Amino acid sequence: MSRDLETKRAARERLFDTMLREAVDAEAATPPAPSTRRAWSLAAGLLLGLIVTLGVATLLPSPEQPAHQDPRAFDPIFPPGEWDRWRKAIHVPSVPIQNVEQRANGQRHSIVVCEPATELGHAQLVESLREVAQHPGVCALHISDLQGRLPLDVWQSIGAMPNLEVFSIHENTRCPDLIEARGLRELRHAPKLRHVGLTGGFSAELTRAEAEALLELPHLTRIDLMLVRKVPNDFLTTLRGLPNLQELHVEQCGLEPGWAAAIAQLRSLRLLFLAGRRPIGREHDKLTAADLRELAAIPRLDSLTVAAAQYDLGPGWLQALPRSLKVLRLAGEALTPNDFAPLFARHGDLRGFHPGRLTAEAKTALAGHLRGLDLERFGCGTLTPDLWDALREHTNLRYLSVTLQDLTRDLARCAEHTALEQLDLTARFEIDPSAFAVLRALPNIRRLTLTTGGNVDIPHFDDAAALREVLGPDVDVVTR
Amino acid sequence: MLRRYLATLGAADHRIDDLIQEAFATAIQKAVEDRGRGALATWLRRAVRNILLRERRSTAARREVELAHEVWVEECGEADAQEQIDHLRHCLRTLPARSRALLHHAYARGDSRAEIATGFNLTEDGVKTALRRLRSRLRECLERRMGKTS
Repeated sequence: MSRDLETKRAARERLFDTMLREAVDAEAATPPAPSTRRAWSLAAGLLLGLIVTLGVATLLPSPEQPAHQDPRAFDPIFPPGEWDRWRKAIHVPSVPIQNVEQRANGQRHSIVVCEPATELGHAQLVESLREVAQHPGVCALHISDLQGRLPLDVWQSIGAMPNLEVFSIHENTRCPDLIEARGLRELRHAPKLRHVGLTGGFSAELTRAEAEALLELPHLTRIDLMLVRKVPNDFLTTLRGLPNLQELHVEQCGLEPGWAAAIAQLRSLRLLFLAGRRPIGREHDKLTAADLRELAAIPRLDSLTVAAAQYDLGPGWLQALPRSLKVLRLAGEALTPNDFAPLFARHGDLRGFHPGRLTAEAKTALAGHLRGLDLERFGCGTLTPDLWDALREHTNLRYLSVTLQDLTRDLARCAEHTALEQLDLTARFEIDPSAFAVLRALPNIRRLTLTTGGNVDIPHFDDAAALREVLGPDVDVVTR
Repeated sequence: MLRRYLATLGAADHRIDDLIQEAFATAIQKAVEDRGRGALATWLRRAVRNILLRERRSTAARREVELAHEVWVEECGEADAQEQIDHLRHCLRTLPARSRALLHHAYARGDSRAEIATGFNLTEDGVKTALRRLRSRLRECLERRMGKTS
């Protein structure tokens, strides 16, 4: 009988897999809705119930923004692409804007308009957005998964928000025209807007027109591009007209050959974040020493993240890294034991270092070289005793990312770094929240991120609640 | 629809097209009267099941096919699972972009765990865990929605 049950369970899994594959295929292949059918879409949206959340996040008062890679001045407004995780992690009630809850010291709000919670139609959602735009405390607005384009007057209302600093918009296959130059241009009146995120569906393509619209946003210092199928080089080169653009984040986007030279034209960049396979993965898009040499032409690039890249770096790639780097974050197994000496000889003033995956030998070698640095941020998976000892000398360490092996022992080691402001911990086992009480000794700790298992958007509410209980209200706890 | 059914019965991917072709050939030979789409679909399902059963030599292997058919009936009845797929599409839309991208790579593109791990800055175990959680979340969503409509 138990064998029968097992057989049926396997069949059930096969059925679910088959249905899921078809559903994912169908979602990816959904053609753009023609504009002539928009009225029908709106009506259908009402019937089917467009699901909307007005997640209202009360944020901590922020120090002056932004210090690109400086962990002291971390942005309390979560970045585009992460809003969902943050919204859930900070347990913000999903309420209409008129019922905003505020913490005692909270004056800055981040609004997410998306996702299931209340079932609103597109028209009601647009009304809500008009209402959001009237709220003077809103500093960040994230719009996602709408079933229709935004009317021009809503774009204008958003552009008139006096304190809006961060705006992101996420289009999808059902409404591929959500990101539109006409609308982006209306944001030019937002006096404090400094950060724009554009997330595409699988079919999204950006054009020079959107880049030209962004040029009209005078205070823009950061642009995030995520899941855009095609980011052409002329989009990137057009952005050189933004004199204050300091940060460019490109995640899971398709870039054309010559992308590195195009980005290198953004002379004001100080931080470049490249992640995902498409920009630097298969075919022409691997990151090469030649690409790095192109990027080295950016005169003040002091933070480079190459996350999830496929390394196809011939000899000499270390020498091709921009000399100006102060923060280097790598993924994959890029570094060998012999790389550290030439790396630190050239970049002895690194303040942040994430070496990616290291072999045991490489960790031993790194421990020997770390003593010559003065790190403020460091991340390296599991740490050997050598590495923990070497880190002890880095008394200015303010950000640490490690994978825990022994909960009590490793947390005690973290607690020795009294300058720590952010801890990013990964645990591959069940955690005991009470063990984190040792972190209360850290006078400056402001954020704890705990990853258990895969780090893809599934929050662990119980862990988060228990950790908040242990660490108190001044520490933002994010679990994933 | 027959493809879904055969996958559930455990037919090998490379055999599915042949089995469907054989079932349709039989239908033509026997001049199966079209009494509506549902009746034809039921007949075709029975046909491909019988072909598959003939191919399975051992009693245990045939038992597996019969049990898988029971699962299909329990989950879909005489329908073609399209309703479940529509609900799953809705559930997918409620996931964050990164989760949808992960599923796209795993299911639509058929990328290996290693490829996905590289692309998403995860370990292979991390990918496995993430997919398991996402499946579980989607399954709950599907059950909730099916519960609503049934």
